[in-house]
Amino acid sequence: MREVKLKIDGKEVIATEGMTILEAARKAGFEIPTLCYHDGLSAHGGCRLCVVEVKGSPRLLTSCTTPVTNGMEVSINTDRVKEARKFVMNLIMTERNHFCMFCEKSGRYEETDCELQKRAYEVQIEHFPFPVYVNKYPIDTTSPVMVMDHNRCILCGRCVRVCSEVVANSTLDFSFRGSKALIASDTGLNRGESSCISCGACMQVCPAGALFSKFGGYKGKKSLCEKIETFCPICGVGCETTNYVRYNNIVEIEGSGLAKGNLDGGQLCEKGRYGPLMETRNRISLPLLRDSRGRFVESSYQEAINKSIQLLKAYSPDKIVFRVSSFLPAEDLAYIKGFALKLGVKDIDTFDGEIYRNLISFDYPKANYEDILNSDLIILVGGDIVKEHGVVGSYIRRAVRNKGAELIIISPAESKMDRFSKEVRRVAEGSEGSVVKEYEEKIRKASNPVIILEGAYLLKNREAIESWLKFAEASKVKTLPLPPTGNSLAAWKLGISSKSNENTESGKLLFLILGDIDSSYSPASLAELGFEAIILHGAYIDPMMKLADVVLPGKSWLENEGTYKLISGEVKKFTPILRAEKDAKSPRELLSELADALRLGKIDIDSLITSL
Amino acid sequence: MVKLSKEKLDKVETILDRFPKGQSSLIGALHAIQLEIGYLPEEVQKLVAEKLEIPESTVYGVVTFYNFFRKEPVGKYIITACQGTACHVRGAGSVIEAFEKTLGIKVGHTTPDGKFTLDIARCFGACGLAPVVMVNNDIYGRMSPKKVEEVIAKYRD
Repeated sequence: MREVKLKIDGKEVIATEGMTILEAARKAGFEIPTLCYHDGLSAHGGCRLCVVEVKGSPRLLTSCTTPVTNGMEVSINTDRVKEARKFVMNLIMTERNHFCMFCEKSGRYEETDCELQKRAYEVQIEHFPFPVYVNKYPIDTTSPVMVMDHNRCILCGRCVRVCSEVVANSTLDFSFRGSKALIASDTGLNRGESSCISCGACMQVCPAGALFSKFGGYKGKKSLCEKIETFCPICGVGCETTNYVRYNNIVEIEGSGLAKGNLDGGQLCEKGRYGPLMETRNRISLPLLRDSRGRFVESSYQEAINKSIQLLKAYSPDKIVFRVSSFLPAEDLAYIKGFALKLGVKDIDTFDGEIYRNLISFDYPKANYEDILNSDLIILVGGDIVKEHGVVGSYIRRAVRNKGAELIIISPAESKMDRFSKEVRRVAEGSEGSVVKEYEEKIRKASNPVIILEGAYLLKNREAIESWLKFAEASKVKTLPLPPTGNSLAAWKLGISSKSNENTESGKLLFLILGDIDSSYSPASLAELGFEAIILHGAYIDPMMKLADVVLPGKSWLENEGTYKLISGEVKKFTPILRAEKDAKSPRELLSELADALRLGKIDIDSLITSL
Repeated sequence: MVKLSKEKLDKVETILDRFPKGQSSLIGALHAIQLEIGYLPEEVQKLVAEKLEIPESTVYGVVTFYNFFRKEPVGKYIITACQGTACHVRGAGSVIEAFEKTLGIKVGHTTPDGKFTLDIARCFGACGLAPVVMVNNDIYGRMSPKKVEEVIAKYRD
């Protein structure tokens, strides 16, 4: 990279060749206002707010698209520039409905969520100097997660660029032109009926009030919220998030890597951005005990603990069974394991332990995200990656759209990934493995093939994945089985799932630790195994509660600090976003009370955590 | 939505086979298809996107950007009223209104019987005859709202 010397407002600035004036100026500490420009996206040069004067050029130039040259003399704040910016802002503000006082994002200068309003404050627009355009544009509320109000749109194209450049879904583009121009989804469809995957990236980058969340809307400005930087542990991809919290409620979740150059481009998926806001299950808020007539009665926390101790003492360790969610911080998982060992319980497993035992017997080369991005043939087997591991889905789309990779989908159900595939093979659920033979030759011929196995239902079915994994092993094809929960990998590494549950038949007391998961994950057949008693610890009211004798309120993942092992292999510490209610404990808090009462001694987890 | 016949869709596919994949083929392909089947309905746009391997939104963006491309079928007769400066000054507006009223459709649309499409254009270069109207390739100069019914009648057969 060659050095380029230029002058900005008389100050000598050193930049590198290929930089724009805007980049060089910001790097040197100058501020140039922008609207359509966004750090994580390509430059558009549409809003004209970033214009600067360049000596020798008769007209003003957009700093976001003009490359620096040697000896360039740039003035970023002359009267001419200021006047042009104000003029541009006036035009933008007059074109559609920008009556800020009636907008969801509006606020005082210090607290507005709207970049457009902020820029308007900065150039001191106090009234509309031009006649206000009163054309009405559609308002699209068909998306399940956001509202698109075209009346507030300034056509900056940030949403269009993020949709194609980062998410690689390309649902959005400009349509029509001039005053009739509209951001369109696909062939002019309503957003809710389009190929939109509800990832919300467009909403996050919208600088005006045109795109806003159906959940965060009208809950208050982000500037009034507590801001918590952490990551989303739901699926194991571990996207970095900024969480806006007010009165212990999440107002909005944003991806925080958009301008950081992260591989994921700072996007989130629907589950990550809206999942916690869409939660409809009710919490277990009080300890419950079953009375002599079989009804649940509220109890004090201590009573519930006492009853649990009584049950744990009543059964010999070989009659006790632990079944645990793998979507818990590693500290909890390690503590549960330590607790069970000290108690002498051998039958302990996670709900996805079966998957671990299915995968462990094969020695195939592991694929990583870079392998997907550089692949020329991607075989996607199983469930809906858009819903389950949405951001990994974007890597597949990028490979297809930008590198011309071929995508073959082998799945029992339709998904929004299908349109990127030339070959979608519908198979009956469970017979995904029956078609391997037909693709073997094609995969062998490809230079960088990758096989992706998606979905807990698929990975639990040994028959369905066996032939794929055997083939991957024999032909050395890189393969990525996507773990079902955000900490499956830690649970497996800690050895919680390594025991086969041969004792379950003789189990009499079942200790269920659910965390956030629901009965769709848990073995309903447990009820049929004839347990005499069940202790249940979990965050949400769930049909499984019907079986329990003691119900103890648990923390949800949002409230529970701890360590997660991501699909990338990275080990990350999660900072809790919300405060838990008094009686809601993490599994390690609950078990340490039980361990004290049972005199089990100190349960050391530190070495296990560092071994992750 | 009116479904295109299989025959027509096959024609579209044959045309698309001539074009290399990618966005650079888009305008040429759309042009060729419209020439063949007259318009570019949603299902054709989708097919173009699929065959050229580009997003549907890109195809739709281009189709809606250019006045030339049509999303609706055109009638047997395309009535194009000039709205250039000279025609405008000499009352093109009221002529267009009269066409809309007589045909019962708005500019840019086609009568339900598929006979007439009403369109506007900017200057035919026949300003001496303003206001001018073209029906397919026939030119009608010095138009007035009164003459509208007379012109339409010639094509009503």
